[in-house]
Amino acid sequence: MRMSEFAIARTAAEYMKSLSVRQFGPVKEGCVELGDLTLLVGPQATGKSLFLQMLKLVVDAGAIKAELKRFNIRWNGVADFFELYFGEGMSTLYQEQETETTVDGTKIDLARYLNKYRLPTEESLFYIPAQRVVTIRDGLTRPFTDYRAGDPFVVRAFSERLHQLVQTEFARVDQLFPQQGKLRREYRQLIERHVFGKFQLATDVERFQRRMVLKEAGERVLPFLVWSAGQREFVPLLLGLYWLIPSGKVSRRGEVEWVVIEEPEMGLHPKAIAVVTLLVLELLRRGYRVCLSTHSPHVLEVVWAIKMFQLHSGTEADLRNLFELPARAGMKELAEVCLNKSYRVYYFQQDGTVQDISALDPAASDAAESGWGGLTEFSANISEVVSRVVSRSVQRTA
Amino acid sequence: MKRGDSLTFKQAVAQTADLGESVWQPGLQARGTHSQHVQCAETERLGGSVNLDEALKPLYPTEPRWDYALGWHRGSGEVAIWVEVHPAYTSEVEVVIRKLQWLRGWLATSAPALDALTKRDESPFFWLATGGVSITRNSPQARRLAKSGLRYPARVVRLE
Repeated sequence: MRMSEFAIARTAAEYMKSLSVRQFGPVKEGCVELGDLTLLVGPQATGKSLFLQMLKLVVDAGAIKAELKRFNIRWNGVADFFELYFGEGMSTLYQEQETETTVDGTKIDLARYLNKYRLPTEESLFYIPAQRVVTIRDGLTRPFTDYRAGDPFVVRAFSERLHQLVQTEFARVDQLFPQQGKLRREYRQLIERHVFGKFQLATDVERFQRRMVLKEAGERVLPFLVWSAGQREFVPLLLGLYWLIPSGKVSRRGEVEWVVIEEPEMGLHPKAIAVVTLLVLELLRRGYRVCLSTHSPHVLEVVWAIKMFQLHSGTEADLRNLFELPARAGMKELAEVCLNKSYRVYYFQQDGTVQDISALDPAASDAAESGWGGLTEFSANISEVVSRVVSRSVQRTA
Repeated sequence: MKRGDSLTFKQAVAQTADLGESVWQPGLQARGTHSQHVQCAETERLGGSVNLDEALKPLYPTEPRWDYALGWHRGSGEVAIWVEVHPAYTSEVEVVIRKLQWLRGWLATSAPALDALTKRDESPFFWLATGGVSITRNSPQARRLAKSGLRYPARVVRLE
């Protein structure tokens, strides 16, 4: 029996198990079984970001259309819509006879899906894009309308959320970080130590808008352009997490079920990457299903470690030890919950195929899996060459 | 004594006073249940095997003995390949490196014929992992192994 577009949208939003695409941009064929946490790895321009945007499109088609219409934006046909959604020049991604999108085994007719009048309009997937640094200019957040029509929708929508958060929800707040009630104390301490140092993220008012600055003990003020590259990358991510993690006893934001974060490690030191990875686990604890794209072996190391704990009866204490977390109730709960989640890893390859490397076995005979989709391949080759050189030298001198 | 480079693995074992010909076994027989973890396309190139750990136990009961030696025909003669079967945890890296150091010392002082066959190969020492490998490829322990001249642990040793 054929599923209705509305049913597909509901399935995608609430319990989608897999998403497949064929002949979509650089991806010739890729089927991704979605875990509670799904990681996409692979070289540049292999389609990771496009795949994640397609995931958003499948889950949130109704909400995306509603948002575009809210700003009086109109389009005509799928190609037009792709230019609006994926960005200028992207209409060629969609080839009417060849591009296929399949949700849990049900093929979607994209043209029909996007033309459907009645689709759920609540946002179910929150997308933190790789270009997040552009969402803050001179410390000011940027609304949806501050962008060109050819800029990717996910950037504009994320920017709009941050704008709402800072200009409305935090309109009466002078200090954005650290802030009592926003994130657990353990996370705040780690962020202070590894990202902001002795500075606080504060706001002041410039031309009737709230501008973000870094303040040192209430004295020295550092405007946006003198922040470190990592801080500039981290602040939009932090605000995105504020959006997803409401204060008080509310576990999640609105109808949001899914979170996509592109390259959470961007610009950060490995210790700060560990903090961000921990915050991703906090999203899992809250029941979000999370998809990341990453170029960081550190992120994969955490997933590998958790999978090893799952295989070898690791405990919540072992998971806490990864991050040196104290044995407090909240941290124990986090670790226990995350030990019971499912983790998947996919390698987007240059030949247009997508390979499941979820086992992450560093001794696998398949180089794609042992090299973690190329992320540790270079290190492994260096070790291999060095071991040969040392062995040769020892053999000669012994 | 004959020069090592004209010997076969079997002859080199026989010439080693600590071992003797009786410990040599054809094919991979000395490796017992571990033989399935050594793969080679041409079994006729195998020059036999020795359970080194067992053979040297009476003489060096407390030393960190290496597990196995294999003969492998390559190019114009045979080379000696050394395989240590060991759990691949980070905490075992130093243990295996100590074994390698002991093996190299033993080859240099007590097994010159085998030492000569060993030196014909650029990288003849293998760590065969029992179970999974719990050492990431970009870890300090992986680099420590490389620095000692030992390859990353493998679940299967492929002879080529």
